[in-house]
Amino acid sequence: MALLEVEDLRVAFGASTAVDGVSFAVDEGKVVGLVGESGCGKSVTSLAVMGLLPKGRPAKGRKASQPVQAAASEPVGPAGGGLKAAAAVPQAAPATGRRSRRGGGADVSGRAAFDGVDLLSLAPAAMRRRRGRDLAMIFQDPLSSLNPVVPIGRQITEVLERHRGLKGDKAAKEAAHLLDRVGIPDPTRRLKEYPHQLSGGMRQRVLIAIAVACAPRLLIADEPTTALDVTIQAQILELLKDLVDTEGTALLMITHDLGVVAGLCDEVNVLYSGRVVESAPVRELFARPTHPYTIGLLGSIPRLDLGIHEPLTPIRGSIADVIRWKDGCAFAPRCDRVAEACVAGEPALRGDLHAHRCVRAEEIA
Amino acid sequence: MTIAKIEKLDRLIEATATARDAQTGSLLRQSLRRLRRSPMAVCGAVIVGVFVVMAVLGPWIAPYDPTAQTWGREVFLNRAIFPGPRAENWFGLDHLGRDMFSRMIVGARQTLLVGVVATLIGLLAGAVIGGVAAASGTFGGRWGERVESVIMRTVDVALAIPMLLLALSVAALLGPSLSTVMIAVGVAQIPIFARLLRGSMLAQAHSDYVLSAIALGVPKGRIVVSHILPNSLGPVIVQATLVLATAIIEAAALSYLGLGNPDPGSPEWGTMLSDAQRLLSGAPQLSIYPAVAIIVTALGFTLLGEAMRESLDPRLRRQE
Amino acid sequence: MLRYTVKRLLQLSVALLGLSLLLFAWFKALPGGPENRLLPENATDQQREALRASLGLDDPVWVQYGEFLGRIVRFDFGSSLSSGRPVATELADRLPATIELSLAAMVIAVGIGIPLGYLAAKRRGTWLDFTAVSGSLLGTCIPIFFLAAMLKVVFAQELGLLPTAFRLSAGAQYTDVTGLRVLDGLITGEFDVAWDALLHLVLPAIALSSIPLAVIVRITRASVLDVVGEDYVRTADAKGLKPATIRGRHVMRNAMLPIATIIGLLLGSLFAGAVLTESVFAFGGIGSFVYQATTERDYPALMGFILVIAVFYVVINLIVDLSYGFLDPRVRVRK
Repeated sequence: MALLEVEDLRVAFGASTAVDGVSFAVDEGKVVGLVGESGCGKSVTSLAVMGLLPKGRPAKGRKASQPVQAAASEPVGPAGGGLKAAAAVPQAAPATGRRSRRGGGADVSGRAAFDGVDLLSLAPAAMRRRRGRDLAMIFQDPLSSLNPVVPIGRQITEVLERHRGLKGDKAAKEAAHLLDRVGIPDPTRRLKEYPHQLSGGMRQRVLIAIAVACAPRLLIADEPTTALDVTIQAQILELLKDLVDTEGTALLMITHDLGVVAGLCDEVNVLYSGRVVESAPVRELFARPTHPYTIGLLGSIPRLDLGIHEPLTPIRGSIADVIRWKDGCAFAPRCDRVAEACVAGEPALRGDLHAHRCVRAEEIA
Repeated sequence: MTIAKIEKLDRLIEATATARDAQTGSLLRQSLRRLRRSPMAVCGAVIVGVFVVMAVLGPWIAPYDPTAQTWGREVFLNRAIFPGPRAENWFGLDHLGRDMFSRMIVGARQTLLVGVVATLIGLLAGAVIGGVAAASGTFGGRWGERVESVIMRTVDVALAIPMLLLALSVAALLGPSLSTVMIAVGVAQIPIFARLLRGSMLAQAHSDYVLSAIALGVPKGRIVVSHILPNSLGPVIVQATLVLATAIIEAAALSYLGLGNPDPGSPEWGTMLSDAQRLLSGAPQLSIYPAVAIIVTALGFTLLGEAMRESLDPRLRRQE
Repeated sequence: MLRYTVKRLLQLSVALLGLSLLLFAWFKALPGGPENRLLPENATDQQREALRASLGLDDPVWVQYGEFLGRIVRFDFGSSLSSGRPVATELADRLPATIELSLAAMVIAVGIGIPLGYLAAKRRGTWLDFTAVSGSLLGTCIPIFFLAAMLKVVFAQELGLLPTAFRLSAGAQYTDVTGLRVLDGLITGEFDVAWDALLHLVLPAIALSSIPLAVIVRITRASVLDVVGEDYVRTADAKGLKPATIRGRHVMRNAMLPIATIIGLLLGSLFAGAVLTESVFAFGGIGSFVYQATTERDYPALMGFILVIAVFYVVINLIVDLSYGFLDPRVRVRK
């Protein structure tokens, strides 16, 4: 049995669906990638697994007392607008966090079994005991993800205190050790510093130190390198790889960067419009991409082995051009190889080791 | 209170400057549409509307002459006998035997006048000062920067003086009268408007669309007049609406301190309220009518102003 | 931190200097010149001449300003026209009452305002939020002297629950230590005096607290709403911390930054509001003194008052700025 088994996960914000039946698994000690464009639902998926989405609330709270609420659906057209809004939701990870302030919560359904226990049905208090201890998360923007008015040492020791019962000097010592572990020089002095005194790469290392403080069995990294310089990106990836190799931690890597996937992951799930469209071991995927969307993604990466005059092939349109999965392939409006069959009902995920959700896969190959 | 609002407006300025770049034309229309849907704005607009109609049509609506002491014989000051509401005088009589209902209706005009004149004084003087500071600081070279710095230091100092004190000092210069109250309240608002407009203009001046206008070689004067100024007005209009509320309340306070003209020819709510204070225990209704009128009117302007601020604030909009 | 403090102090002294200039200009602009305003109406020409000479009104303007500055630095504001006593003495006698009243009002405003604002933010969109927001909008729209007078009529005169005026009951024996009577009563062990003073304090303090309370509720609500949506609060949540830890260490510590600024600004304006409240309750602080000074056109007294309030305001601003440095490391530790 896999460490984390996500089955038919669905997340909706009001009328709009952000995640539309995602299933995947993460095995003990494996690195699994969740890949897709902004808005495909990958961040929302990870937040749902962590139990960090604002809870759905009865519609009572969103009535006339909130003038802003009334205009909420305004920019979205009446027909097909639902998915458009869904696509807009996870565009920037903070946007999902900010939803909480409006009282508009997420409706989450499906299963996310961690070691056999469904995280989605755990009581909030039980989930709090697991978060940070059994499973931990690394966020995209290291500056905004650290509390600006609390020394970083305290931000590390509070996890140690909460989950490992370490206090005072012991906790400080362990925190220094953790900073050392993630490659921060002079860790004892750094403990007293504030986030704004550190560089971007250092901050991300601190966040990683916080995440691995209690030796979690599953680490979720949500675009951990997107906000960093390219040189720093490589260092952080190296660090993550090292942690995974030495500690045996499983890693769920959320990214839009296929380079990251190639360098780090064992298995990949490609997401489009809230569903997995292709899922395969990493070598297999790069060698034989099957779904046109995956092919498109690979085609839009600059490659050194092709001539400089070789044009890149972007995917046309945007993720907002979408049809509902139950009517056909959501990617059809942007697909170069679209045919009648693509919009004749819901495409199934086919295949075992290398699964894909394209009715024309055989013809294309 | 006002300063708390300035903090918020500063945020608003910052936010609008960035938002204009993206969606210049539709912003105003969008804001108006959002405004119509906001219950706060609708409440405020209705209150303000009723108030303005009363102020304009007051003398024609009022059943009696508000200054005539027609029922003087029915009122006994020393025994605290003031006939209350009855068929011919809906709100009863005041301490001089005048019809309270007529006085309330006619009083709206003077009250609005005090509020509007005070706000205009603050707005115009503040706009000139803030506008000159921002324009000279941005386009006036080194000397302009110095001018701006001197102006803004002075404004900061004036801003540090509590508003009521500023009003008191002005009133001390001019002696008690209703125009003193207007000028005093207005002068107290000058530094607030000056800071606001300057901040707003600077935010615009550093925004991308102005930079590109400069790069295109549009004359500086024209940039200020046709781009920066109109786009800086949003927060100023919001503030003016909020200040109208404050001005009406402050004017009442100054009247209470004896700086307004006691019982002028035509009635004014603030003066009526302060006049009635010494009769509060015997005839509370004489205070309560003008007090409720002032509170509701101030609330109307506040609601409208806050709703406008919310509808203009792209930070709030983005959350949708 | 030291450098920051020094810089703030310098800025403040510049502000005070500017203020003295404004005040001087105001003084010079008084109709009929200062001498007419500093002397009673029935003063003789000789008195007038003497005053002109003693004020140096025939000297060049900058000499006059120097003199003026010298006098206010020594807290010499002249004598009150109505009482004949030095303005500085009058103010010093009354200051503790106003401080006591303002502090009490602030305690009420902060004590109720911050928790209420927090709850309103946490339960956004509920009836509690709606009540808190509309209540605070209303709070800023009630003329404070009317509120004070209504409280007095209802709770003191009609219901007889609380005293109508003054700081202590008539004939109360009282030992002066700090001038803050509740505190004095506690220090000297005269608990009946402390209780009596507290009862006298309740109504004026409630009236005076209305505007700061309204402002604090709204700013707390807005600030908490801002912070709750921040990424670091989500990080704290991802750590599995207890809700109390998240609230205290992560939400409130950040939300306090704007709240602290507003509290400081409000303290300054409280002194101005005290003018209105104290006159209703004959509270015997600076406020009633100024009310009298305004109605009697007692300019030396007014000038002294404005200056004292301004100094208070400036000092409070300094404290706020420094506490800001204390609360926000980004201000404190800047290279």
